Amino acid sequence: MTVKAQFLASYKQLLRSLIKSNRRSKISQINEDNKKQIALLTYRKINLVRQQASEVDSKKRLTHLQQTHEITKLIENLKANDPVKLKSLYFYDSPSRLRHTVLHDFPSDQASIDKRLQHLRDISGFIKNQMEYEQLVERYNPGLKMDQEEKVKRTAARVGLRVPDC
Amino acid sequence: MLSSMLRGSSVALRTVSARSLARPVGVSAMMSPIRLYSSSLNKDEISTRIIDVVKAFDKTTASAQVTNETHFAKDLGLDSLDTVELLVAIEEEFDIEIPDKVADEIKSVGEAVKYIETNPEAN
Amino acid sequence: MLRHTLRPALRDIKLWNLRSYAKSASLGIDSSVENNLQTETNRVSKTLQKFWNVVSSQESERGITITLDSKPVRTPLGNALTVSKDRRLLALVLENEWANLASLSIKPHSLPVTSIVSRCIDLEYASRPDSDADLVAKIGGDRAKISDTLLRYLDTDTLLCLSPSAEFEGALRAAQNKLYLPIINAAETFLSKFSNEPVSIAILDADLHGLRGNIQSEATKAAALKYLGSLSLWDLAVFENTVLTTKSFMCGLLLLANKALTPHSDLSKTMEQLAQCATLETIYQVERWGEVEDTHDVDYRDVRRKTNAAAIVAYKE
Repeated sequence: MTVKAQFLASYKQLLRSLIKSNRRSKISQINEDNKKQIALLTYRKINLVRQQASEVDSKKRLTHLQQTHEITKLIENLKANDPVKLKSLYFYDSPSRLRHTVLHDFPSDQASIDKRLQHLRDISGFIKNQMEYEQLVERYNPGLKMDQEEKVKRTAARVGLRVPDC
Repeated sequence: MLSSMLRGSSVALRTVSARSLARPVGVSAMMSPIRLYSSSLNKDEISTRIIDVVKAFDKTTASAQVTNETHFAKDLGLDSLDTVELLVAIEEEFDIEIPDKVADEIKSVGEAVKYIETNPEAN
Repeated sequence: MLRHTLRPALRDIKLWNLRSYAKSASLGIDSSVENNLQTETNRVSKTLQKFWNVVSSQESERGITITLDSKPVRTPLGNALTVSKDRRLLALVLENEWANLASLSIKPHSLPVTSIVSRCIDLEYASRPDSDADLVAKIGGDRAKISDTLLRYLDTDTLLCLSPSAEFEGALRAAQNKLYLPIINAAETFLSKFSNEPVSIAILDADLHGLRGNIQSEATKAAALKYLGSLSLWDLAVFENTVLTTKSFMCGLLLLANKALTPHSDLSKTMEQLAQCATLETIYQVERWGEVEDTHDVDYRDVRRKTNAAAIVAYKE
């Protein structure tokens, strides 16, 4: 194999592991962000509905109503926004920087080249195993990933109770 | 929830499907319900999905029309590292790994479609 | 009287501290004494919450520093998380590690590379003449003590314990002979450079010695100590991490020999091979008795993620 072919193979391996692992964490980051925003918007919506109910001026009531509609739409958009479908997550965020770093002062003697390529493989090996490790830990400890709300719900369910909907 | 359950079992499913597909194609297509999971993709669907991935690649000029005939180097101006990036993205989209030797031969959208079509693991 | 009533309470606090440490140790925090310095690594290990928006890095004369919202990440002892410019890819890996945490799922095991690098940086700080002695004691930064602790692993080293030929129809022993003996030979040659006489490493052969402990000769111990003394503090931290992961002194030696500026060709191993050396017996046990869920599968990944992480930290241009 030529150095170029070896390099491309190691680069591909590195990219694969980075994208697999980063995509997984980005998806959960986006989902979490969406959840937070939805909670915020829902809170605003409830306030608006209350204001609207107590408002006597019909003009103002109308603007409230419009605003409520807008918020509902935003919430629906967020709910429909599934990061799993995002094609952009198939690519590394700053490929030019990655490339620059990987190729930086690329050595010319065979021993150093081998070491650099091995370094790239160590990095992909680390990222891959770290991701697999985290997945296993999550699988065996489902409680770790739950947020407080979910934990309370499940605790209540254990003794046959249900948390009231809000 | 469902997706995580599916993911957990996908390994098992895959080994089964790989084995069933080792049998003559005609027989396995009729007999194995597992095929539904692996290679129920049709050519148009594959093509659309690949083109969407190519379009999401910010190295490709936004104005470029992407079709089945689009050549990575000639039409999109991708160098060898760009092509690696694009192929890894396509791998992720179909949840497969393209062997290096095969990947070296994929130089256009059409060739990528053809490869995915013949890969029973693609989904 | 007062002292008596206080005692149990104090003991409770100590216990509690120890427990919280078991959790945070992998973030690069020493596990013996509570450390309340307000640093990013401590904060994240205590609150397990994400508190920043943008992860990036800044390059300066001193090297590349990882920043959160443009403030440098600091190690448990309050030093900036900075790596030298001949470790560019390491900086990228560190940045990637912080950028890909999701706030709900930050776990003590989520930042393994940061943890090793923090230890490297804090050990370097500990060796400076102007370092705060209390802080140094807190992280167990005394070089001689670290070396002594590490040396003890040479007596219990997996790579130096050969199983009885009767086990696994001799298959395990055959694999050990094939894998370990050349490494032991090469390590003897390597360590001899740190001694006036040729070093020989004692092997515990279950067929010959039965069940007893393995004890290295004083000369071998002296050579091993001299070797540890020759390491930079950065490398010593990597060595320590590898030994704690693999429970093997020899694996630490192997890892550093492969990542040295001029690698030693007769000790050449990939990280996968190194992980296999450290877990050879388990491989045969799993083959025979089957894999125990939540144990073997997790350990398999754990050894590999940690040894690869150590290798990344050790590499230098």
